[in-house]
Amino acid sequence: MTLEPAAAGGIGSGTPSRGGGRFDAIVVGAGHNGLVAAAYLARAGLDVVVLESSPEIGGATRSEEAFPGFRFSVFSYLVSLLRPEVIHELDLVRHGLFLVPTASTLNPLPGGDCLFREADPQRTYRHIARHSRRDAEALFEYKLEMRRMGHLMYRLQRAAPDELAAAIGDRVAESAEHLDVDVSAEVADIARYFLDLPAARLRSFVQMLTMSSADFLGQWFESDVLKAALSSSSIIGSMLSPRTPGSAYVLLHHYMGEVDGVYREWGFQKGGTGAVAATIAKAARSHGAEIRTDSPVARVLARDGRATGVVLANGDELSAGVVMSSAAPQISLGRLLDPEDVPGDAGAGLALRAARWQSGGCAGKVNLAISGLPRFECMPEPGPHLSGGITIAPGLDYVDRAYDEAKYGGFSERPFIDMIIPSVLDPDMAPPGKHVLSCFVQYAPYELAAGDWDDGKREAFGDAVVRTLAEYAPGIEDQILHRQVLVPPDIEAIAGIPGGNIFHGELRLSQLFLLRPDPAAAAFRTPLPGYYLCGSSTQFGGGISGGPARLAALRVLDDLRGVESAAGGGGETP
Amino acid sequence: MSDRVAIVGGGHNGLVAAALLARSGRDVVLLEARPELGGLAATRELIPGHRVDAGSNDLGMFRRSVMEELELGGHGLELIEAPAVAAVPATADSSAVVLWPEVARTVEGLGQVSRRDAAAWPGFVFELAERAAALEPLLSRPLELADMGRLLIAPELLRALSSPLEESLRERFENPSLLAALCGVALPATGLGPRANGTGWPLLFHCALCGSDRLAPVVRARGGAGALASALAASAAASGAEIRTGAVVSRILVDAGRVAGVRLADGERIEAGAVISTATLSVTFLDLIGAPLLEPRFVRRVLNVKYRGAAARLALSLDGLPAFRGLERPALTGRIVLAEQPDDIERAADAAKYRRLPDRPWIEAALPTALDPSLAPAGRHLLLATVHHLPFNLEGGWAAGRPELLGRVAAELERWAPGIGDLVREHALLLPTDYEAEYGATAGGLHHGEMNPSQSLWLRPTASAWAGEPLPVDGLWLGGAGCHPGGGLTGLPGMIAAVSLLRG
Repeated sequence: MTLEPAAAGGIGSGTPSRGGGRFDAIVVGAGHNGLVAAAYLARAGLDVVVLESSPEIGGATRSEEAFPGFRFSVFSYLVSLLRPEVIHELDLVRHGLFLVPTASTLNPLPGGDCLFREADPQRTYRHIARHSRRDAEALFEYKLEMRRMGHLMYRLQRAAPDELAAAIGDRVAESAEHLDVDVSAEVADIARYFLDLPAARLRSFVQMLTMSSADFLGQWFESDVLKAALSSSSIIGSMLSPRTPGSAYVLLHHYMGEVDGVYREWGFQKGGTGAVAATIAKAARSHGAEIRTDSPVARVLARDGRATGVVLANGDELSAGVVMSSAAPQISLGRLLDPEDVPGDAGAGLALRAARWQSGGCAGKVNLAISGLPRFECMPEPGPHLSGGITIAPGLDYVDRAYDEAKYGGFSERPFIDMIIPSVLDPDMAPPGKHVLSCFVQYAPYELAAGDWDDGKREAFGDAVVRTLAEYAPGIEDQILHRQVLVPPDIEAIAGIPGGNIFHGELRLSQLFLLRPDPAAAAFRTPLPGYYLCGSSTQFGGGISGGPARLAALRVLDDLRGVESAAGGGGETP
Repeated sequence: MSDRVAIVGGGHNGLVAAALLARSGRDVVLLEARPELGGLAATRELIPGHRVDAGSNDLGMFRRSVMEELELGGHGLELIEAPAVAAVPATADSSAVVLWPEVARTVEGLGQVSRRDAAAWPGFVFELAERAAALEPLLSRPLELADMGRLLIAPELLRALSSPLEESLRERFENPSLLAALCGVALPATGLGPRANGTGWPLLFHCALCGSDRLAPVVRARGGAGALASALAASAAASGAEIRTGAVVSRILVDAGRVAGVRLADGERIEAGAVISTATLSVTFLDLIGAPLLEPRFVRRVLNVKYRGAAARLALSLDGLPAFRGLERPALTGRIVLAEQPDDIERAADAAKYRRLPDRPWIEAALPTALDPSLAPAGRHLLLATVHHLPFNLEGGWAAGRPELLGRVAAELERWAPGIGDLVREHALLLPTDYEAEYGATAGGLHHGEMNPSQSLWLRPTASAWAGEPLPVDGLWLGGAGCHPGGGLTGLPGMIAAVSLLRG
């Protein structure tokens, strides 16, 4: 390949100008992943522009003033999966990252009972023992296993899928010629570590990829209340019930979090999750990246089988030797990419396969501005439980029934609700004495079997949520000042995620690893040289992690280095 | 130490193991608790004068090389291949669809209901065969955990087996009856509805073991599935194996961590240096060996095996062939899937989750007499209606559930084949509880452990190991449907047990 002069002539010599322009790299989308990719490229000295279609950065993490005097992140609500290497390498703390651990989870139960899990293991033991002493004993063993599994996934996520597959293929297959990839020493180490794990660990790993979380949890626990509580993490953002095979992986996915070196801690960002994107944007800008909002990209441009830039919806053209897209595959590999531009026949089937990508949303968000703190029947007085997570998932059957309704195209009449009261942790979010109740609600399918998500359906969904809350916090309906109901089409419209799936695509074995998002683009490179993917729909993706974007950016830098070191810089594709 | 091999269970897997070992010169005694051989592949006179298959009667997946090696043809086994693979009759709201082994014939029929589906059919069969062929080598040998890497680097195969079946099918097809037919072929004896992840696996499994480019042909034994057991027993006996029926094994004897033989319920002790158990994992380890001899960690693994996907079978003696709407006689020879759309199966699976009977059970029906009239007295036809996706632990119990289920099945049959009620002369019903009590099928699961990806391939036990760890008792081998590759009339778990044992 031939690098565009801006890049070939030394990194960072672009001349950005509003409208068009010439850059080393263009990143499509200013969600957290697009920003992470841009920050890494800019940090390496590239001249980078981020193009965001909407007026604000942050994608699904953005904060806004939804009601007068109330400012909070309307979609996402907690941060745990942000990769520590991203935090450290981009120096995000200096740029304002401030994560407050959420220390507890309360599961209210019918009849004024509850299950409360606190940071203090002794107290949690006593709470669980009220429901089952055996389970209280087993919790430690379970957490140990999940920690081991989380550590394994964590290591696997440091490797690009194609390299890892090639390294595994070297070990297990007679021929792996279709995986003609150079494997770095680090990835070879990871593959060796993986394949040499004790049988019990490997078994757990395969189980996690294939089992339902109810079965997986059933290996340790007997209490329906505890299983339902723990299974919450296995359905978040997924059109799965705890009894659907594959939900155990989603559980594991949520066990990869780490806040301030503390494993499996959920963190709450001061100012809302939108502030996370703001800190990454600050980091990117500090290295010279330019971020343009209101700049929807219409298409990736290519010449002679190589990406050369993008054209915006308004017709402006920006050129660069590297284009990265953080959008979902229906956009990145569908709308933005002309298969005719792809060399050979690698473009055939890309759009077709992108169309079969499963990214139908399943979750709604109901944000309530309330006049005072809610009084849960099980713990009516204000206390530490209000600064943690509160989950309505009183039993596996309850959650499963909520799922079954959505499976056939309805919303759950008695939904699963995972909520926080962000204004308790960050009083600036609401006027004095008032609060925001941020409810993540399942299940709300993207498409309803009967009719569209019109205002009537939205309000009915909101009513179902308030009705359900009132079963556990009587009187809450009288505390509500404002109500905002967001359903998957809203998430699609505002965050630009087709289908409104918060992970850019279901996290399930058929959409992970080499299949995320496409066998021809599973290693951040697409079949169009110079065009890369860096969003949640790559690798093991999903969540506010920044992990895929980091690896994607490193892959780009590797490729550029390879080109620079190639004599004359002609002919070779990276 | 005795050189003898004792085989617990005279189902087809136990018989395959016995015949192969005896043929290799081993001293073999096979012990079957019931009066007849065949286990879940037995044929019984559940209705006087009728030969009723108690469980599976489809030999399409049975390993042909084993048939040849054991000379089953010479021992009386005669195979009949059905002209039809699967059919869904018409209803007031849906069209009839018939799948034939011949691609062109299927395409012609599908053209009547959906041009798009007809056009997509050949590509579907081709692609399925290609993936099945890639999977097949993994199914006839013990797997090691590291083999898992092979799947991780084969994305399309991994995708096909881990996706929801209905979703994969809808990428090609639109006609609800066609979708129901394919789901009906794939999902019997699983606990999962077609919207669940991992339901691509049973279809691939089925096609891989049918070992041809035709989609899951129906193959039956003349005289009923029991004829397979008889031929296997004759082959085994001809090689010198001792085969005992009515011999109830109550204990696998373990001495200092090694099997010493078995004890029968009547107190008889049979010395053996090796024992092959074809019973479920629960029966083998919890009942026959006993939890006190095992590590708690291992016992917990056994307790966590899922047996979901219980079934009931209603056998009906009819005065004539029933009139399934839209189906000609040749279409009645294969599987008859009574579901209008995949969601009929999904809703049945939903009901089972909450321990209830489905409002409208989906039924896998067969008319074995349409292929083999000798199974019923002259003038009579036999209809086997298998109701899948039932809960074993039905709320309110099966004593109350039995008449309820009968009523719902009768209503469904009448809907699909109007007038069938007037043809019924006699009936017999096997409930999930009967399968457990009479055949040792734990929790009524016909596959000795649900066939989902989390209990298959590397995670299903094989002859001497379970997911990378050796079995806790020396000299014990597993050879039943609960082992790799799984349930159905394949002969493979028994074959793998025999081959593993011979290799030592």
